[in-house]
Amino acid sequence: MSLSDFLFKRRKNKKGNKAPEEEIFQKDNISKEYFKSLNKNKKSLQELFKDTFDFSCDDIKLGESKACVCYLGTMLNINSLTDKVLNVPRETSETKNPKNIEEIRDRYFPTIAFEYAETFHKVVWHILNGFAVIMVDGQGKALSLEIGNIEKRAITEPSTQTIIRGPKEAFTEDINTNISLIRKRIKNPYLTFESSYIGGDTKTTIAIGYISTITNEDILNEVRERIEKIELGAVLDSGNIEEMIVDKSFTPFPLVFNTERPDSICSHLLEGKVILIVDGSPFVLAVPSIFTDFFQSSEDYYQPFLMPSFIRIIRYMSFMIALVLPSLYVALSTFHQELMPTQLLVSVQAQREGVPFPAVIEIFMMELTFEIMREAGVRMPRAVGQTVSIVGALVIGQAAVEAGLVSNVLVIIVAFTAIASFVSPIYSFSIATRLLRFVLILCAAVFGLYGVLLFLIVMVIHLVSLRSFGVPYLASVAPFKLSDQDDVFLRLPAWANQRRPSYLFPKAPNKEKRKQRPSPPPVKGGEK
Amino acid sequence: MKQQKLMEKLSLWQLAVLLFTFEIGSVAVVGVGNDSRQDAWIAVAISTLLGAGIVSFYIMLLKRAPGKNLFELMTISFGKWLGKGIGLLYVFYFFYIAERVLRDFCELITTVIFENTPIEIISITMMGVIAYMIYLGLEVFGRTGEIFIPYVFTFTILIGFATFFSGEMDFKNLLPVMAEGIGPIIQHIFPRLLTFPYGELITFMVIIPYVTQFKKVGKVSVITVLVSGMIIIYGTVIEIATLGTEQLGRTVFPLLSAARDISLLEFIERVDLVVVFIVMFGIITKVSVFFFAGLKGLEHITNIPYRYMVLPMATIISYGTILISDNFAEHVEEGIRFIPQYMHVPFQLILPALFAPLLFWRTKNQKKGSGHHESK
Repeated sequence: MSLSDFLFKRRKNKKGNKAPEEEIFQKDNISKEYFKSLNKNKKSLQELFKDTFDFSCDDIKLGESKACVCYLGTMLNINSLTDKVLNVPRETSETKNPKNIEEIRDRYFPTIAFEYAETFHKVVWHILNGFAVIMVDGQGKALSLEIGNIEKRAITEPSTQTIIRGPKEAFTEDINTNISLIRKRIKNPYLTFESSYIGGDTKTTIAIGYISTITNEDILNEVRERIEKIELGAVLDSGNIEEMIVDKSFTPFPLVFNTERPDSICSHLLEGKVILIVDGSPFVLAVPSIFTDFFQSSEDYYQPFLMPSFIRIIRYMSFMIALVLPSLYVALSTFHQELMPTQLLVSVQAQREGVPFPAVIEIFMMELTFEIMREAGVRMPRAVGQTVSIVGALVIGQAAVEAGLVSNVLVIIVAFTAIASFVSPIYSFSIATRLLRFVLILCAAVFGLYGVLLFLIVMVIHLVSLRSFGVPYLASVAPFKLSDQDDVFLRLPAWANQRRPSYLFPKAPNKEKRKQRPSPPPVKGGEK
Repeated sequence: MKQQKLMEKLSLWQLAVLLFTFEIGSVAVVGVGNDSRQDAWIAVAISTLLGAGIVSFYIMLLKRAPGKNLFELMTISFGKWLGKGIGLLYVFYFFYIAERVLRDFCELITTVIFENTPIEIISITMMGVIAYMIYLGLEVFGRTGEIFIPYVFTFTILIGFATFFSGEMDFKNLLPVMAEGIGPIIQHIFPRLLTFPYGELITFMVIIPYVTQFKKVGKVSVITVLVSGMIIIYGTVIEIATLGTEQLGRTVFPLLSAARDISLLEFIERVDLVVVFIVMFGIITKVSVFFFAGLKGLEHITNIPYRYMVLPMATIISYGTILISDNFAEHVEEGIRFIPQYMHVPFQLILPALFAPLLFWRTKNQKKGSGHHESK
């Protein structure tokens, strides 16, 4: 057992809580039984929702039998409820009374999507989900009618992962919309979504999506198992789930890929990964995810391959720059001046002459200032956005230099580091570099280049020891796999990239069967 | 959990990477020595071939009982108690060599970069990193090697090119070839060169059983030894050509001194520091291999999982690194005069040669019951 496993031992549940709908409320002490007597049911419902203003329980008459419509007024569109349910002419002079609930549905609500609720749990669950539940006296089950039309946000352009060329849709907070966005792109009967409900208090729907002909069973089972084990009070975003299913939580690196781009999620599905959609979150998770996933933008595949390959290398470089540039400055300027070319050294030292702080303090000050500015930029109300950019330019800029607080070179270094850290296409990955940068600066301040390198080695050791759902985090580089190199540092053209990544052990290892490198048509009537 | 840990495996590529970095690791720090002067590269070439032979001998031994490491082989051939006793000697040997290799590097750092830093700091920090890696297991070790091998390889190659284009190389330094006949070369090869980078590969007898495709191990190891031999020849040629035999005899860290002469475009200067940092990974690999081999031996002797002993043993090694000699001169002198004859030769050649016939005899008898043995 590794040390961190010991320190952060995850709670192991005795049994999974992937509850079918009926068992959802077992823990909440709500009785399960649905009675034949309408009054009994009504009473217990009213008991349950007693102080809620938006709960209504309207008595109606369906033919001869007494009935009652229960719903949460805020969870469905009242107008359509009135049109579809309450206004239905019920006093039909037609023949006999409907005997059972099925006939009632046939006669009065033939056009509305429905479900039967055999248990009281299901009745409550349907009411909470915006159904109008019709309970009829003397019937063993209730009829739930789907009225729908809760307000939701429209599909917009992605706000965190923008691209220039490619689809511009983004996921929304509604799980059904999200699934439809994926299904629209992958018209495949084997695309499967399994649902479960997580969160003792929120009962959030979670969908596990995969393509059953591609995804490896073991990975899928591992995902299912981990999802079942989750025992959370509340799930408000996919981030909550992420923390509970990772292999190791004591790491700055994200072990689960998240995106709000449907096309990116689709490509992950088609590679053989499993996706997790959490209701209420526009960020969909994809597992297992590896280090290199975080350096790939979906746009890489929409542009001709040469440029994206170059851009990818730029991304890896800027990752390194964002990580080590400030610490290199500290190491070089305090320990290894001889490594700098003489001219540069002279000018750097000349600029630092007026600065009263050692290089570490100087850089720590500036990096902290920048982190504060960045946080302010994210959190503050849009209306005051202008202020931060104006003031920020003063804090990190010429004014700081002229005030004698920092040197010119340092401002450039901090600014460049900041720019480089924005290059990573996935935000949660660039956070990792922000954190590690400070540790590196400390190492550089104590041990110079030796410290920087020592820390980098430790970081690499840590990285190779990480696993995401059993897949080594640095897969296809360490352990090295030559056949997977077509989509790691370079993005080879589509015809050369016909195999799915082998670290996912896909059931169907090839994307296409035949080689289809394009070539000009043979010249007709040309010489032999 | 434990099951998984036991099933740790290395791929062939990872083995090759570890072998390679192991080979060039400390050679890059202290060089191959000056016994045969300008003919050192010939000595290296011959000893590489001999080294390939030694490695195939080791692997032949391993193939007698697949899946068993050096210590288990010794138990098989010498019996339980004698086998464990000799195993303990090997453990001491491995740990001692780990200390020596680490000392080389610590001296390098304290001489070249941090003149005022106590040597303890370097040995403790390095050992901390190594202990962390070994604690995480052999798989992590192999993968770490995979990450660093491109840098180690390219930088080693680049040093040669950079010295060449800086105009510092004078190939006349390599002449005359074999001025004093073959004598000095043979003296250089045995025992020094044969044992220093090549005989030390006996540690891999502890690691090789964990390789997945055991059948191909022989081929891969021999090829890797030959390739790393070529890199060592390359390095030796750089050193001789750049420094000349006179200066080479006086310098302690030859490759570093050679790299000091690099000056390109009036921008790339004083890259000797960079060399230090490339060497660092070679050293980490080398110490880790010795450390891991020693730990595995302890595990075999005490039946306690080696992970429990990582931290205590790492502490002992980082302390021992300082204890083994009072100053660098003593350390080097020991390395040249004493260690090859009295430590390397017995442990790398004599003992294996001793237990080889025993092993052959035992495994012949055991062939019937081999199925039973494996199921244990």
